[in-house]
Amino acid sequence: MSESGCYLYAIAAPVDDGVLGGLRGVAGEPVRAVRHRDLVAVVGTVDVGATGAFGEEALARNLNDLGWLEHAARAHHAVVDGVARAVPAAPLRLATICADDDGVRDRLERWHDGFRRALDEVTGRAEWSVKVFAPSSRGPGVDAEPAPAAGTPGSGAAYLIRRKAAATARDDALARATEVAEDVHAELAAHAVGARRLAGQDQRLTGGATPMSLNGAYLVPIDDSGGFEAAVEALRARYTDCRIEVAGPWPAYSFVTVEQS
Amino acid sequence: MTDARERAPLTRPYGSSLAAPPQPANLADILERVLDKGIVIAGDIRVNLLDIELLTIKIRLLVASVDKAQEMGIDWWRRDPMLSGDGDGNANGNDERKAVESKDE
Repeated sequence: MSESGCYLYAIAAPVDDGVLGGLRGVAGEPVRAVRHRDLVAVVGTVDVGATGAFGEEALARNLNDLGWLEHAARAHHAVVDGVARAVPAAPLRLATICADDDGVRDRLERWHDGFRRALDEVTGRAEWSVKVFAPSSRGPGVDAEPAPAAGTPGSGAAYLIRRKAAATARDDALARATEVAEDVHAELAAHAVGARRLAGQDQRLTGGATPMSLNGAYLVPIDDSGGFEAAVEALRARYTDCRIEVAGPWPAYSFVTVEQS
Repeated sequence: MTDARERAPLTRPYGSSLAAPPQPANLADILERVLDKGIVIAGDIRVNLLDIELLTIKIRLLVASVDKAQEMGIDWWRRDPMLSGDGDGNANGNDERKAVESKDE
């Protein structure tokens, strides 16, 4: 049985229907604005019934399906991003669902001041991500060389020495990356109005050849975007041995919060 | 940096002066943000006591994503007050999210 729920993407300043008209949500649904006072919630209608993709059982199953999760996460992000490029917007977390528009308005009323503050904080600003990856440890190539044939005099000891040297090189690379991360973060924080260090992403997730030593999020005034990017470039030039990745601008996911009143 | 804030008119969207089109973000960055960042309506639990189904959906959402997330080395749920089992799930104590003014670390 189908039963509709109201899926929330973002709290925003009033936004043109023209902007929303070009967006599709997590279920491929059109998105619309539920307005209350000076705020809107950008929402879409999803099926939370027993047979719907957002019904309790289906949702549990779907979220264990990485393909589905990726699709939903990207769709959620696309709506938030589309809105944030047009008006000040504060993203909501994935799968925040209300029963109906009245439930949405109830929340807009209840947390109006908190939402307003969150919006004011991110207005005229965007989030940038900067990551630092450890240098590759170019120690003696243990793996590249075959282990010595058993019984060859002295070669076992030489192999162990190479192994130890490789491990030391990896430790040095990590220590170096940690140091660089501190510097990069401090430098970029000075170019931002907000700065956070998020947990480093796992190497299995990044697919990177070396570990991530900084996963920084920076809230940067739009007018200073150029200065921020120039600062990143300067850091790249300073630390040529570490890979430094920059991405953005994004909606200010990492810089919105609503305190319970 | 506060002067930058005063300069910014309240209605200023972030895309207005950016020529660049939206760039595709990588999956890890998106998941990290849409699952762990963004506004958490802090009183969710309290409100949802009147709205049990929605609360259930949210908890199921987080729990359900654990297996896959763990495989990927993601452990956000450990920090989620709703799942840490310490009482009422009030998100207030989570200073991870009191983000804007304080520059972490």
